[in-house]
Amino acid sequence: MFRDVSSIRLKVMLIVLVTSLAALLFASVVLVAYDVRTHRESWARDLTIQAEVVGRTSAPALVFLDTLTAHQSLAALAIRPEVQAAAVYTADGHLFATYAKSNKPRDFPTQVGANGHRFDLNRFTLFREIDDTDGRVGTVYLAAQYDLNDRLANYLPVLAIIVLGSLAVALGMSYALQSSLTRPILAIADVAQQVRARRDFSLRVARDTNDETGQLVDAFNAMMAEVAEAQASLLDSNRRKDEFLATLAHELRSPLGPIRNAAYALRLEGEEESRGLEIIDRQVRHMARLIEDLMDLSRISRDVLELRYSDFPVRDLMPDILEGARYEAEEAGHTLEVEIENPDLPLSADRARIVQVIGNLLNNAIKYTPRGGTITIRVASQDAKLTVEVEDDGIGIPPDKLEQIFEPFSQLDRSLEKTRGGLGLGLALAQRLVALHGGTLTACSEGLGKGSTFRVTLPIVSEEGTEPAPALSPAREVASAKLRILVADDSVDGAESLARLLIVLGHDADVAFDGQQALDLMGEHSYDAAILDIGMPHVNGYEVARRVRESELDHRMLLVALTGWGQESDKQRALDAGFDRHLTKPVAPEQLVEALRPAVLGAGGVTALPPA
Amino acid sequence: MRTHPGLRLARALGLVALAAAPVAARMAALGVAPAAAEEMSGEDLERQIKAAYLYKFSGYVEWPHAAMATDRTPLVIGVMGDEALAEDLENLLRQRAEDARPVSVVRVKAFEPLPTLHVLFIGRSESDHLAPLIRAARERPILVVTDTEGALALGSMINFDVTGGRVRFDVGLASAQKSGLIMSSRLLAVAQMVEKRSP
Repeated sequence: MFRDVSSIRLKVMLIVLVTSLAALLFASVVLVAYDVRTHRESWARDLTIQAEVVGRTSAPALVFLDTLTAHQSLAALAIRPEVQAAAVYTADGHLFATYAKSNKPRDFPTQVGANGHRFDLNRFTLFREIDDTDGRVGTVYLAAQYDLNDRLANYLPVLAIIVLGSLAVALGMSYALQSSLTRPILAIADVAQQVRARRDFSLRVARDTNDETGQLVDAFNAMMAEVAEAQASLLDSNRRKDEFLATLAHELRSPLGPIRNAAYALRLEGEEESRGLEIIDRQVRHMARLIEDLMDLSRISRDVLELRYSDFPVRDLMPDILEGARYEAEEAGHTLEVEIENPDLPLSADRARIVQVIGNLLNNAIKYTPRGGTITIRVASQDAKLTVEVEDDGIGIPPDKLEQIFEPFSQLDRSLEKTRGGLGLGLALAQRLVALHGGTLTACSEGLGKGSTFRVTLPIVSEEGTEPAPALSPAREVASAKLRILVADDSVDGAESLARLLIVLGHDADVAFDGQQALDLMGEHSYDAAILDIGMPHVNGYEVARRVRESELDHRMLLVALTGWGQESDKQRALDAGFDRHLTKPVAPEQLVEALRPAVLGAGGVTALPPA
Repeated sequence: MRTHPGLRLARALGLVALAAAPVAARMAALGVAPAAAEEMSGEDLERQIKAAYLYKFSGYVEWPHAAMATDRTPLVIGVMGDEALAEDLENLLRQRAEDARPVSVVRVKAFEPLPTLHVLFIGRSESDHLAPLIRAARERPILVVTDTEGALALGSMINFDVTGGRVRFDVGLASAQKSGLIMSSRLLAVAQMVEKRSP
């Protein structure tokens, strides 16, 4: 009945209203019925008395046969408008005198009835014997119109006022009293609403009743406590997972640097023809990329990833993207096609991240396309948006999986995992990176076996006419000037492989395995540059840098910080401590050369780095 | 309803006479009354009505306590100068219920000492010396009823008057009051004329 009423408060009041109305109507009907009955009885009694009076006054007239006086007695009934007709009969039943209301028919019974009255619908008739001093002298007859409607017309407005007044009082009372019933429920509803809106499971409802609603409040609060606990433990385990992932990636990456440096050094030392070294190098790069993906995802989920915006033309993206994928594409026998609508379109973005995103998409396309496929990279701009499409003619994606593929750790076909490889992070990471740029990454595919297209849309923030940044890094240079460099790292392999790389590059290098040792060596020798790991026992990298800058050791030695943590804050901290440069592990040889450039320039010329 | 005055009076008489009669007697009388009325002369009818009235007056008059201790005290009606009426009255009284109030009829002769009476009817035959007769009766609480025109002026309290075949009466209220009688207003209501001035 009240299913459509939206407020419980209203519902309670409606119930009270309907209940009161029903009770009042019942009471009214009974009251009216009772009143009609008693009123009719008293009305009849009244008329009977009237008839008695008429009889008494006309008794002498009957006794002394005075019809005139009898008529006059009856005529007095005119004061009773309801009396339609009246008559006096003699004791032997003959009509003696009559009275009829004007305009009413003069119709009188020929037969005298028994003492008493009767109602025929609204018509009331009465016979009343007339007794006088010497017994019965005649009979009075009276006919009257009993008007029930008149009575009701008088009575019903009063009743209506009573009913309406009672309803108003009931409504007022229910409004005042309903809160004891509805308040706890409304409080629960309110808190539930807040919990949903604010995701704050610590909210509780105050209990102020001991009835079922009180129990409901308790149950609700207990439920909230459980949810809060479950959520806390969920958040906690999620945070621990993220931390674990970060640590895992960090730890997995540590050995890569040394391996890479060692391989690089070996190659520079003239073992270029070694196929094994190429494999090591390639696999290390691949592994480094996987671990980078993992770390990035971890950073994004912990909300600590920062974008380094710079302005550059679209064209600048291509070499690095293609570089990263060329080998795999060739291996798989794919044809790579690049269509760039407007190569000079200026873009403001984190260049390295965009390269990473497109590179991931490209890798994906290579991986999920059977041998000899064609992969097209299409760059276009429309409505101040840059779109980059990576289209392949590979295995495609079923329509119901189009959303799912962007979930971390998801791969299209688990059974293919072994042959395709990968952690299933590439697309998830790419989508998040694009989102950080304010863009979108979507996938579309006609279905399995019909290839797929990934479309990156990025806002073009850069204003028209911005000077394109100069093409980056002619990094393939090597110092011709021989520098004396100190490498300090508590990882022996790390320190020694780096030192060896530096030596291969034509420098002198010493190693130290903790901060104190580094300071000692600096006291003994004069170095052009020092590459210091931050996380070292006894004296950490920051401390070493600070002491160097504070002491007389500082003869403009180039200080390069080397850490596993590449946040902006880490860099700032390194610069504050006195470092000139900050490098994040694993360090590519090109980055190392670039970092050492100021020292090289200070010492002499520059030569090109031999191709890697 | 028929309009013949005689018949009307006959019926009225039947009513008056039978009012107090037992049910069985009344049933019998119903058949007889109209037939008897046809045979009766107007004079007989008039006299019978007057006899009935004479008895009925007592119901609307209150005597002093000394004269009428209770309403069961036997009522004594004296008739002077109209033997036929006295007989009519006696016939009428005989038809009354057993438990009705005791009433006796006493024949009174003119200028003889009056016995104990409540009502005294002086017939038309005594009209010539009505004044002394009335004066004598008025020394005691007696309702004096006469049948002579102008009798009220002589101190009569109720005087019959027949006009148009109808038996009516006038009331001398002041005279009645002087004798210590109280007349019911209901009686006055049906009187043809009420004389309030003292004669």
